[in-house]
Amino acid sequence: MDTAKKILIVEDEKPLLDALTDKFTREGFSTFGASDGEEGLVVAQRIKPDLILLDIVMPKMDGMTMLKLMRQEPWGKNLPVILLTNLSDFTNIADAIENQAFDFLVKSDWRVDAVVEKVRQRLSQESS
Amino acid sequence: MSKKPTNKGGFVARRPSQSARYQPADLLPILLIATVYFLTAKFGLSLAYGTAQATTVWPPAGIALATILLLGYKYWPGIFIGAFFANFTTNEAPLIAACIAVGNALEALAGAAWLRRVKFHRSFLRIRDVWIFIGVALAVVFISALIGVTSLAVGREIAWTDFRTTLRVWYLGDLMGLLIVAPVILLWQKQRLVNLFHKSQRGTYALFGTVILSQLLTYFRSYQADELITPRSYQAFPLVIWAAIRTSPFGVALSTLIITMIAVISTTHGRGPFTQQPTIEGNLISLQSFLFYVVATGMTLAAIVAERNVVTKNLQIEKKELSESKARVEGIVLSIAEGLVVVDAAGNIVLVNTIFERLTGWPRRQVIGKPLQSILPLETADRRPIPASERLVTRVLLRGKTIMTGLSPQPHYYVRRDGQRFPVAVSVAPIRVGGIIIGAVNVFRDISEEFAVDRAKDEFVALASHQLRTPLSAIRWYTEMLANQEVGPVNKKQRQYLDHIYRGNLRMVDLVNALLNVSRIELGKLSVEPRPTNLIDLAESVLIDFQADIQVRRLNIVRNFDQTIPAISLDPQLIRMVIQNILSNAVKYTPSQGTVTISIGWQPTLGSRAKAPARKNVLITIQDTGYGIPASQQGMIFTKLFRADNVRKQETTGTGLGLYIAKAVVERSGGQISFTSVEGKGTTFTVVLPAEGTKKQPGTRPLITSSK
Repeated sequence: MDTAKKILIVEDEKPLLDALTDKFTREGFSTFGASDGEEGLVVAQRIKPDLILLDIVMPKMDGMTMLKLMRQEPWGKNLPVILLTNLSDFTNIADAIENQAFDFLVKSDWRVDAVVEKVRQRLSQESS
Repeated sequence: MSKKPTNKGGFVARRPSQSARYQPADLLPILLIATVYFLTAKFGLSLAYGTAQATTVWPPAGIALATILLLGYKYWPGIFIGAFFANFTTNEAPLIAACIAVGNALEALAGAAWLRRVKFHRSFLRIRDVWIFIGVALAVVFISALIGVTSLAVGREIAWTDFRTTLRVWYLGDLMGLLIVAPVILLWQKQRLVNLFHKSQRGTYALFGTVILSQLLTYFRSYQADELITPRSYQAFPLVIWAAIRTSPFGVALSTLIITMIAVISTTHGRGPFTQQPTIEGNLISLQSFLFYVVATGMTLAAIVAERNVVTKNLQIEKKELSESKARVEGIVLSIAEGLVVVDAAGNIVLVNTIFERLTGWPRRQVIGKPLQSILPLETADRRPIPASERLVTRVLLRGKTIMTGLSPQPHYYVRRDGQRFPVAVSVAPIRVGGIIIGAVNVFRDISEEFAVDRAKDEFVALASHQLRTPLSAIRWYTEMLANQEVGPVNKKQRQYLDHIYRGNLRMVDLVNALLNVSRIELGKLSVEPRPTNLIDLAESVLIDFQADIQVRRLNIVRNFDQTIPAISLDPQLIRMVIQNILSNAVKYTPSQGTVTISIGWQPTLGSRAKAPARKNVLITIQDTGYGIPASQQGMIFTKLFRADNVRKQETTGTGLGLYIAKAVVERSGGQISFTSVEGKGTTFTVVLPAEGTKKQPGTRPLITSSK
């Protein structure tokens, strides 16, 4: 498991964070969690994940702010990000595209397996 | 002018046809007529100078005609009797007197019949009535004159050599009797007398005073042989002109009667201007000829004045009605419960209403004539001023089309006089007169409240979406992981329970999605993003989604795809949802081993004999052999949250929102949706989409599509 990909999950809802952390760990990823944007930035800078699953609506610092700040850092400039959304909180698609977050998924509409699949797919794109 | 001329009523007192049969009560009027005729005839005959029976003054002719016109044909015996005795007592043989009397009666009857036939109105208020009357008089007088003079000649009362002279005297006497006496009788009404001699009508007294005085002064004096006499009589013209202008036809008739009486009496006494002929009879002939022109002029002029008065009065009435209706229209316009501002073609304010004043804070007086842009600036939501060239009013004035704006997508704001602003819904329509745009009507409404409601609804949608979806996601993912035995083995019963939880969860996810979509549709915020779409590929991809259900139910799927359908410009996500919603019903509500047929093709053009049918519309048809929709409930199926009774029993899931959404989406895409259904046999849904595709429609929200 030394080649395990590092996944950072930034999600303020504990049950969802736990579910995804457990799932990705079981799927063989090296999984890290953060419960708001501030914490997410700190953890991301430290561990340099291969991919971030980023919730949008969060206390302290929301997902879009974190994304913008991260894009200004050399380590975060091209880091793949998949946005987790409830759709209604995600009104500015242009904003997201500008910050190179091409993927977003509506949590309740996705099977957890499908989320994992999506992450794998994205990682394989990145490596190729 | 107490009466307006009409063709009905008023021209005879009694309809002659209705009283054709004689009754004992008729005897008295007949005798009365005979007496009056006799007396006036005797007076006339007393002025006969050449032949005892022919006179230039014959008032009974007018009395006779007026009587027949007013009372009816059956009173002719009165005339006959009066005329007979008048002549008989003038030493006439009875036969000759009878002949003359027949002539007199015939003259009156023929005159009356003729006048009725040409719809003469006895008010003399129209020029045509005056001229008709004169014309008829000129003609019918021949009857009496010819019969009378011939009788006299045959009876040897006159020599045949005097025939022409006597005829002329007779003709003139009868004519003047008709023209001078008959109008006075025909016009004689108490009301006319009251009007004429009313206290306020001082002019009338002056007129008649002047008429009498001047005529007495003219006619009752002697003239020197070398005096220029004839022009003295001409003062009759200014007098009747005065009467015509200041009074009425009745006033003219009375004036001419007075002038005639004075002139005739003075002339028979050898006084006045008409004394240049060797005989009195000759003088009377000159006088009567002269008076003919006087009466014709006066009556004609009176009719002209009357006609002019009618026109003036009508104009005044119309003017009044016009100003009243203008005031009414203005009242309606000003009372419109929305803000109203009317501008001219240059965009300057012409009219505003009370609501305008209230909403903008500008008083009416201060805005009229000013450019709308300077009074009522327009802003976008982010306080960017909208230049005059981009205002609706400008666009309407240029293009001549009605334009409306409102809440969606983003309202514009009017800036009040005090700098405050409010969101508005505006509709502007061009004002066209004769095809040219002369201005525009701008109606607006403060939509602050709607805007607030809209925002509250938006917030609710966001909240519901977030608050409901977060726990739904958690339930979903944990159930999936448990069922996958990722954290330990699950026994059969546990798996069954997890399955129930999972399906309940998915139903809730669908319901939340559907509700959010409905909310978006109702807010008008549904955005349509068309791009070239292959409908067949789209249908196939939906069928893949239903693969599992189709297999479980062992349904037979028939595909009927016309491969000539090109890619059409549609919003694929929206149309996919439509197909999905209809197909979902077909699959859900068709019993095991049933058939679902999905067809995509051109809409056949009705009655088209062209070899290449016009390919305007594309049809998507989804037909099933399912439970069908009860006939009594077919009208309800596109209604929000409605589910038919029979399927409720079969399937408990289903939101009752799918078809509502499908219909809204199809219609927003420029298409139509319809269905036919027979309970127990199946249902066919048909979606018609324009082949030219859908236009892009900006909205703020996309629709939430399928689950993954």
